Amino acid sequence: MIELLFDIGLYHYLILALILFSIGFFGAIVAKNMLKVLISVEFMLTAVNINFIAFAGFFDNIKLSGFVFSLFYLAVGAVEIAIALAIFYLMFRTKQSVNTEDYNCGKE
Amino acid sequence: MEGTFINNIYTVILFPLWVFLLIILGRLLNVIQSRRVISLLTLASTLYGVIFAVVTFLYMLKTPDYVYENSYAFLRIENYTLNFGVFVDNLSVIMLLVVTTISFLVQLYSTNYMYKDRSFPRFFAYLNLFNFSMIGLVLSPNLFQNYVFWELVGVSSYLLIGFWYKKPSAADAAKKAFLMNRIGDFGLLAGTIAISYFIYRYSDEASLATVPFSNIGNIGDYLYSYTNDAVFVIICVLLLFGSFAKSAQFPLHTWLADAMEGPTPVSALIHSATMVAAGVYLIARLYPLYSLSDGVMNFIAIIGLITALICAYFAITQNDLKRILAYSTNSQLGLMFLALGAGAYTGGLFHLVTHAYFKSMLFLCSGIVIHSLAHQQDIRFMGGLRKYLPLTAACYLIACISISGLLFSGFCSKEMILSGLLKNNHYIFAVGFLIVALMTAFYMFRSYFVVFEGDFKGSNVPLKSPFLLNLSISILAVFTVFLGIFQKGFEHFIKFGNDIAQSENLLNPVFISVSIAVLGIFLAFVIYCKKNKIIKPKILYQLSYNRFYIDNFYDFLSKKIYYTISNICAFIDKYLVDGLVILAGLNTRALSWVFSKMQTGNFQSYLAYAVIFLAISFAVLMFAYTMIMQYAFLSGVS
Amino acid sequence: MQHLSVLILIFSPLIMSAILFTPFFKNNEVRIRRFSKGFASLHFLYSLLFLVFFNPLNQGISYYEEIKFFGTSWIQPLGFKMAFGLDGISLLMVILTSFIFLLALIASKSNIRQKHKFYYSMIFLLQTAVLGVFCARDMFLFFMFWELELVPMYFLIGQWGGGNCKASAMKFVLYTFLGSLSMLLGMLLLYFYNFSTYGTMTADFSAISVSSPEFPIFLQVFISILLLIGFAVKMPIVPLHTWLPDAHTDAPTPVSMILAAILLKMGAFGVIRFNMQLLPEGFQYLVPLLLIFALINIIYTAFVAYAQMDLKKIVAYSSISNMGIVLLGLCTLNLIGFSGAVFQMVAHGIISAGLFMLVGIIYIRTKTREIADLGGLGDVMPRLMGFGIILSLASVGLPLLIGFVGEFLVFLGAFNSPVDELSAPIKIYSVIAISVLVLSAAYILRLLHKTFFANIFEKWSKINDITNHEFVVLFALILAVAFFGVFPMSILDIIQPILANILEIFKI
Repeated sequence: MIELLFDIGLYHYLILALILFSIGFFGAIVAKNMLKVLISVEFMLTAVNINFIAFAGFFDNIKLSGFVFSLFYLAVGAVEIAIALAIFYLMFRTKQSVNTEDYNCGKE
Repeated sequence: MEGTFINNIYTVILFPLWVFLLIILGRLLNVIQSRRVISLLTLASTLYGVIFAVVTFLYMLKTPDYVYENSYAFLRIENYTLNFGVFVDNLSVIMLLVVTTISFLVQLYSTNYMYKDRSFPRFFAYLNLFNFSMIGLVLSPNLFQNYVFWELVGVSSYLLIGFWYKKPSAADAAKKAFLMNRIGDFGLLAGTIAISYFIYRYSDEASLATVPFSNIGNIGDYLYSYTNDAVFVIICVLLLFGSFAKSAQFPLHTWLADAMEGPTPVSALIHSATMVAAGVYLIARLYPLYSLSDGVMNFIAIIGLITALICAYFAITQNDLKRILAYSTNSQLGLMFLALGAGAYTGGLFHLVTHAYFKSMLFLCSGIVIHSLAHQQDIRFMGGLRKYLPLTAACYLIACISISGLLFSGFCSKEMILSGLLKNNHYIFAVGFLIVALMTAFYMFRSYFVVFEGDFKGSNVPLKSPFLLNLSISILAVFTVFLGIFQKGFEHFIKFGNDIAQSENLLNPVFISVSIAVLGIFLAFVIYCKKNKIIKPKILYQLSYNRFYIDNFYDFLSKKIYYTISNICAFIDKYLVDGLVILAGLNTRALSWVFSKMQTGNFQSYLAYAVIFLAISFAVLMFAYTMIMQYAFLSGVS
Repeated sequence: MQHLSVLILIFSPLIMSAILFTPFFKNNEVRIRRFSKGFASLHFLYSLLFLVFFNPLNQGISYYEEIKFFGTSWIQPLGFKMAFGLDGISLLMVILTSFIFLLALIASKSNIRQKHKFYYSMIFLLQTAVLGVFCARDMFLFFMFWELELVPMYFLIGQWGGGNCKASAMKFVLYTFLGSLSMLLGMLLLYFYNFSTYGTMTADFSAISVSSPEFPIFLQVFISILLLIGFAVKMPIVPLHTWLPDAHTDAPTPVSMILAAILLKMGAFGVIRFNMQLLPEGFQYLVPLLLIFALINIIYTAFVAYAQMDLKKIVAYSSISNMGIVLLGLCTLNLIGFSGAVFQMVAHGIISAGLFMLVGIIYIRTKTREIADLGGLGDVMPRLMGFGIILSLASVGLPLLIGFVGEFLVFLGAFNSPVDELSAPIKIYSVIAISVLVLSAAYILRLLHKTFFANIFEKWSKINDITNHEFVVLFALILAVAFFGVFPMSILDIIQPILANILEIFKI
């Protein structure tokens, strides 16, 4: 039982990533709150990151480039969050709302 | 001297055409307006034709088996040539004589008869057009030109029937005549093309592709040997369809009675003497072809007999004077078909000639009657006219005696037919012929007794008939009386093969036919002159009066069935074919609506579209990739 | 004859259409009309000169000319040339074009009431486009003119038409455009296949046609179908015909005349140029199918025509039926039927122009084309009735008038056709097609009787007979109808050599 539990292969990682990505995607297109959308996007990013690490762990002999790339990715993610939050702040200032339905300005 | 005449005989065709164009253009440009000039020009052109016909005829009498042919290429494609030209032999000379003389007399008659009509010039223009086409038809050297003028006579007949186009009944009758004739033209054209094809394809002589009448014997043999029986019969039947329509034979006979809506001179010229005889003329022309197959000959005879019987039957109960004569014409044409089909070639053609004269005289007489009674055509309102129109009554009587086969020319021709039938052992046909003769005598004398004897039943006093009208019918009466003399000459002049010397044991047939005619006349006398009440069998009377409901059937066919088919087609066109087009347009619009609705402006939906689209395309690519790889591995290519 | 220039023939109407916008014409309606008519007459005479100096025994191209730009041809890198030339068929079509355009311009007087300058310049632009199609010697030049013709047609129908004319114009343009799309695809395939096989970039008709027999058959058939769709829309062949009744009904009379007389012929002309000359094997492969389409065209539309209530629609459907006869003639693949088809193209051009003129004259006076509203007009318009009878009779194929020869030759050719070796029972088809004699008589007589015969309505008793310029138009058409009916060889002599040349390619 314990063996089974700890005998974790590539597919377990990939499935975890898939589940995370799906949750993130679902949240991103359904959530009404801007911040929830942002969090969902982070979910998706994380899922991608897990894929990177999994592939690196199972296929990369040097076992380095994948991990380094995921670290970069974390940094990029942090920056992205910072910028996104700033944008959201500006958007909130113009419309006084965090509801995504108020921001259908792509139509005009 | 005769040589110049015969060499220039093509001018006989062209002169009426020239007069026709002159009248039409003159009216269009307001140059020629005088009625006198128009009628003189027309008469001159026809008289010209009469002179040529007479001179040529006399020449032909002197030189037996003389044939003149002259033609030039109308259409030439590679070595396929279709010719126009003139062809003079015994048959065409006789026809030319008949056509030009009757035409001349009828034109003389119309000069007076139509004088008060507003459209006098138009009438004479059409008469000239008819003359042109009829003479062109008679002098045709080949089947192709025959077809060309066949259609032209049909058109001039159409124009003349519809001459009073303001009368809806006249317009409808014209349309009916044209369409019925077109059905015949369809058969004639298909048959002509088929013959032409077989000759062109299989015989060595490309010049025969135009189907010259001078060589029709050879063509018949070729055709018979290149085709199997079924094809040969089909081609013959197609050609015969043309004859049936033009001569108003059984399935297509209904137009002739309606054609009486035209002016009476037209009925006398076209719908009794000349144009309707063209069907008989064509059969005579193609006789060597038809006679190769017994089935075809019997077919002609049976159709002729049916027409003769039913039309004589119809004529008995009609009340319109011109309709009686029309059905009589129909019936007599049926007899000619019967004669030709049963092998009495000379008799049939002689009947054509004699019938042309006395029938046109009958029509001209009826014209005088109708004219004098102020356009009353119903015989129930006539009677006792012999006192007012003695000459007309005499002429009418002569014609009646003649058509009944009692005396004069009609006697000779009918006797020739009957002896021909007996000689070829067609006894059933002979019996049918005698029944027709009985009915003919009956209905002709019925009309004579009702119109000219007894008491006058109209309201206005009949008018006197003018000199010109009397002159024309008198000349025709002379023809009717004395034409029988030339019977022997005719037998030698017009013959097919060695079909002469048929009047050997004349006595019996003469006795039978004359006694039959007398019986018919007696019946008519008893019933209509002595006013004996007889019981009219109601069903038979109704059937005859309504003409077996054939007209109603055709009306149903054209007005209901044809119209329904057209409407279904139009419906398909409008809603199905065009509907699909409109549907395609609507689809585009609907699609654009869907797409425009997708533009919500919400970034989340765009995100969703993008991912869905990516997923789909990725799936498709993967699928395609696997399929290709599988295929590549399976087929051993790696 | 070196002095005659095809370029002048084609481009002078274009120049004329530009000249109309100069200040000299301002908005002087009479002056515009007079100059237009004068120019069109000169153009007609000029086109007749080409006939005079044409060598009828020439099986190839006469009067070949090419425009070069600074010493290079039109689109040198791709091998496109702006080259024009005339063969017998083109010559015939060119003369017909300038004849009908002249008459249409004369007829415009009573039909066009506004925006004269624009109208006449559009007509001349159309003339250039049509002449360009008939004379082009290069595939893509042909296509350019083919598309160019849509522009003036759109405006002519949409601006001066009646009824629902904007929609009809749109339908016409979109329909033709879709057809052209498929046609362009076919041309491109032809061009690139030719290029990849022989390594020469050329779209010249004569260069391509020589190399054609080595194309694989399935490709030929495929390209043939693509091209045929384009031409079938224009011709029209039955399932693709529905733009035509609408366009005819809503177009002004002169434009209807041009549409029926000239533009439909472009479709048939395209079939001859492309499908028969360039892709003979593909065409031969499709002949059994096309024969059935031709029969449907002839018979089905004749029935549809009988049920129409609008005079113009009757004439429009009769046009489709007549073009079916042309298609049948093209499919016979022998000289008799082929000459008949080309003759029928000319015949139908003249007759349909006349019939549309007739209907137009009635429409101007009564403002209606519904046959239920008309009747007895022969009483007040005897001259028009005379012309109407002659044109109708010509239309039903009366001998000695122009309609007969084409039909007769087509039926004869169909009977003689070698196509029955392709397991198509063309003799039976031919007999079925001959029944059009009866069907066409039925609908044409209906048209004639319902308008001119029987009793007249009280409200029409005051209308006038035809005016002088209408008389001139109809009279010219009638003269042509009678002349070519009596002397058909004058047309057949011109076209026979080139047609024989085309038929030599077929291996049947």
